[in-house]
Amino acid sequence: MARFENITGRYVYLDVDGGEYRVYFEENGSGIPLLLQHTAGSDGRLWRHLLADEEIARHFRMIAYDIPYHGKTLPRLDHEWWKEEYKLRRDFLTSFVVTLARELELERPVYMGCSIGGHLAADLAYYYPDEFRAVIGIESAHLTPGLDQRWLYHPRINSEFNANISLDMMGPASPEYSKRETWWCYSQGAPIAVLGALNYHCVEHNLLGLAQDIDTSKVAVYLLTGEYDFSCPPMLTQMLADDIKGSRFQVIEGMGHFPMSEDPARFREYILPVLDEIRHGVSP
Amino acid sequence: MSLIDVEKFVSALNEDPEFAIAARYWDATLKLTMGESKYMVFISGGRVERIDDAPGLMQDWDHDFHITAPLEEWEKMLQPVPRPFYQALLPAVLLHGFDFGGDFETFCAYYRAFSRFIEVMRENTVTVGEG
Repeated sequence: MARFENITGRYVYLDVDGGEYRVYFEENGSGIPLLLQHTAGSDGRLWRHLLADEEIARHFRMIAYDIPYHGKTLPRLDHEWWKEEYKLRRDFLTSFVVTLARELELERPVYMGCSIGGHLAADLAYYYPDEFRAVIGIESAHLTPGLDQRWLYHPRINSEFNANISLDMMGPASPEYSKRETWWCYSQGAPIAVLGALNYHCVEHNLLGLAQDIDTSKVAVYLLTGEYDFSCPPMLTQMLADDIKGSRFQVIEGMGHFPMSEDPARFREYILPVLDEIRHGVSP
Repeated sequence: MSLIDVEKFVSALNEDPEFAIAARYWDATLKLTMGESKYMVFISGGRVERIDDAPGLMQDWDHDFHITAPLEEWEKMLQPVPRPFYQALLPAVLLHGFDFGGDFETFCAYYRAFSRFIEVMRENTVTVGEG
């Protein structure tokens, strides 16, 4: 008899910012909705281990989606996207997630995201505090100053470069097979995806002077950052946590930029207590 | 003090299947400076031809890339499980005391080869104290 995972995938049509998108998502579980946002250039597969976790699935309806230009969510069919530089905008990304939650009729979901998704956790808490009961930001900061990013999408550089950097962003002691799986997911992103998504990450996401207005009595804020993440060193997340009164911050020891995929078993140890708190309605 | 057993390191690199893939078609000369010690690494067609651990006067001038750091920084980099941001060359340059130079386009193209180079060096370090 075939051995199946309980994860199922399907498509939903969303109208966002004047355009229609055919959005792919995978889900498992029932209970409190839990949206899972991938990193720049990759897709929802980074969450596959958590998504398959039956203990979490008993209490949470986990939904891992691909944003446009990523994974199985294609660019629009009615727009000449190839004639312009792809740039992920903050307004679009926040609207996209809120629209997805509303269309799926999720009642005050929990949001969890990593990297651009970690930044998005803080932006959702700031711009849409009434939509979510809690946000969990992994690798979050007020902002990420960009380095010279031309090389992330350059005619003379194989986009494998992006995946190779991601390998060095993980903890040296994280399981090798898991790190290579993360690399694999990265290597399959569209060449333009990473640089385009970093427009949000490094340019438009900026909560300096704003983060202190996030109201954790409306939306609980949990922040976790890998000890070895050189793109978002824990010190930066600590500074964000210091600004968000009532938030909780934890360093994920030994891991880097992709805790959920680079060491799923150890990430589980960090995230289960957070999900338990949310489930029992305990504010951080 | 030398951190590298040169002969062993050259063999390990040339026998490493991942380095062979990542370094394919690569011709380059690297200059490593570890405190007072200098090494010239000659790579041809993705294989390390030789490492000169005692380059003479001016023999270290002509190179494509350099990786330079005090000995104590290299010791931290070469720990079996290094401290945060010593896990690879790029974070060590961005956040610690490593200096790197060379053609950036080629660096991007051979990024994984550079990373694997450091990893194989880490696996073949002579003696490194607690960094």
